Amino acid sequence: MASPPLYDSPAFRDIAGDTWRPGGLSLTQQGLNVCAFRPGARLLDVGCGAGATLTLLLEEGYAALGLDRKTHCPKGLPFVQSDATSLPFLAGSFDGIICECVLSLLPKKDMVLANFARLLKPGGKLLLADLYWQEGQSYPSNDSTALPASCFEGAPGRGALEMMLTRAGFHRIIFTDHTAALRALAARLIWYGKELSSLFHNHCQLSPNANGCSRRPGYGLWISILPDV
Amino acid sequence: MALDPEFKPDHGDWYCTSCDVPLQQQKVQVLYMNSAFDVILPRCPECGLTMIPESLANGKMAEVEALLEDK
Repeated sequence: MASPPLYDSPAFRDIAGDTWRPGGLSLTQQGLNVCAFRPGARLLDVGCGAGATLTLLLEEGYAALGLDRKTHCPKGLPFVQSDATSLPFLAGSFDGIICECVLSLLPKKDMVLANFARLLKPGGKLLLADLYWQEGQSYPSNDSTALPASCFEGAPGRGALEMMLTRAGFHRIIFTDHTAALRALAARLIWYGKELSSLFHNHCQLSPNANGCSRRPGYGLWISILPDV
Repeated sequence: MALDPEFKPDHGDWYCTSCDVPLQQQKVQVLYMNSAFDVILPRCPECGLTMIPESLANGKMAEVEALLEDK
C-alpha cells in the first residue's frame, strides 16, 4: 500500500510549520517580490494547505483565494474545495497563480499548467515552487496521468518542467535555485523528527535509473509570465 | 515541537577509552548540513567526545545524505 505523502505526517507538519514545504513563507515572499503584483490583484493559491501563504497574500492586500482538495484551511479564509486538476473558474479570472510544492504531487502536469495559463489574464504570472531533478540526469518529464506516490516520485526534471511551462504558453521563465532550503528542512527532520523512523524510505525512489545514474533532487522557484496579448 | 530531542546509544554502556569515564547524556550543538541543532547525545564529560548512535548514522542520516549529496 502506498504511503501517505510526507506532508500528511503530523511529525513533518510539526517540524516544517504551517507551510509544509522547504523555504517557508520567506521563499513565498521572494517570489512575490519578483512578481510585483499590483495592489488588489486577484490571486489563486492552488493547494493552499493550512492557509499560510493565503493569509500572507490577504495581509499584503491582494484579492486572494485558496484552493485545496482537502479542508486544512482555517474557517474564515476565502477557500474553494476542489482538485487542482479540475479548476472551477472561468478563463482569465486571475492576475496570478501561486502553486507551492503541489505540482510534483499531481498527474497530468502538462494539462495542469495549460489550465493555469488559461485561468490567467494576459501578462499573468505563475509563481511555482517545487522539487525538481537536477540537470544532467535523464529523467522522464513525469507528465503521466498516474497519481505520483510522493512529491519526489512526481518531481520533473528542471528542463522537462520548463518545456512544459513553455508549451503551456508562458514566454518568460525566471528560475532561482533553493536547494539549500530543501537540505535545511531535511537536516531539521533528521534531528527533530525522531518519530519519522524512516524519513524518506517510503517517499523517495533512491534506486539508480536505468543508466546507473543516481538521482539528486533540487528545490526551485519559477516565475513564469504570459505574453501581454 | 519538543525541543532538545535525545538520542541514546542503541545498546550497552559506553565509555570513553581515553578518559576512562562513562559517556553521559548531555546537551550538545550539532552542526550539520550548514545548520545548527541542539540535541542530547552520549558525550564524554571529560574530553567532549560525542557519539552518534549507529541507528541514526546508518538510518535517517545516511538516507538523507544519499539522496541530497549523491553519496
